[in-house]
Amino acid sequence: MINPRSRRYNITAYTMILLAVVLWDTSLVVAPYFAYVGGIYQSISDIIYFNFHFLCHQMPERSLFILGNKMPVCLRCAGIYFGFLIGTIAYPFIRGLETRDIPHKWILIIALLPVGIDGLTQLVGLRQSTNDLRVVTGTILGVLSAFFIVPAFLQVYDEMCNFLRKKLND
Amino acid sequence: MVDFNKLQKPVLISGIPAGLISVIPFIHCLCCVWLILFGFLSAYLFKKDTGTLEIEDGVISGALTGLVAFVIMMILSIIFIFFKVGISPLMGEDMAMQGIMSGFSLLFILFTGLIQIIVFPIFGAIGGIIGAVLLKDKELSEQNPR
Repeated sequence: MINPRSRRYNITAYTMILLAVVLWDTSLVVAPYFAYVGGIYQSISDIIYFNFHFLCHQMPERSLFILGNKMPVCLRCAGIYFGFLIGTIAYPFIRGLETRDIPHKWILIIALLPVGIDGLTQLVGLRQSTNDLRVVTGTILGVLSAFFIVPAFLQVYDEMCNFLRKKLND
Repeated sequence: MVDFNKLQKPVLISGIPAGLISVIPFIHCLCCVWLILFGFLSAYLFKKDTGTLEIEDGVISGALTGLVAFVIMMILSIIFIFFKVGISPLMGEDMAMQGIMSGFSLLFILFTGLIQIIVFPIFGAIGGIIGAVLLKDKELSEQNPR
């Protein structure tokens, strides 16, 4: 039997993380579109591009172009972020919102290995990766990492709610 | 709830270098990995100091590391802009060279600060989660040696 209050909390916490991920991924598509439209939208586009430069090299040859403008992140990062969205959407159907169990660490290691090997061998100059490989390895990491990050967020949200409730009662 | 006194040392040891590194333009070649690595380091140091590491410890230590890194990055950026030395991440010279920047303003920097104050802790927290997942099983196996 699920406590109705905790069920409500779970749905609220999950909706928050899903909305944040949708907003994040939407900005990746909106930035090149706004750059294409121009005018006042160009400033919004600039802000998005600039903020993603902290997180990605933004090399044009490794990026996808939308309406003649590149996305604000490379294909590997785009794969991670869109994969994470897929994983977040799939999470309640596969694991359910009530569980706080984190999958075994080997799943995370398996998710990190393709990106790690692909990125590292390229970084040290052993070989050159392809955009297809970047998308695939990034998406694997993105999808699987959602199964670690979503329950961790739900757990922290629980802790925060309990902490605040305790403080209010004191 | 996490004991914040125990978090100070790991957060500062990992957060300050993360902030200093964030001003190096080359670091962005590693995508967001560098910030995640310092979040991981923070979780590792927390485990080393306290002997325990729960998921929420990892999340909070990683998020605070990201926050410290953000503060250091902002201070350095403002110093660089004020003295007009070096390449500041907030000046975005690499962006200007690519021709995708239309100009700089105080409002622009303010917007960037408001976004990055959320983004840095999020990526630090992801590193903390990875740290907690990878180090937690080790803790259990240490308690029950075969």
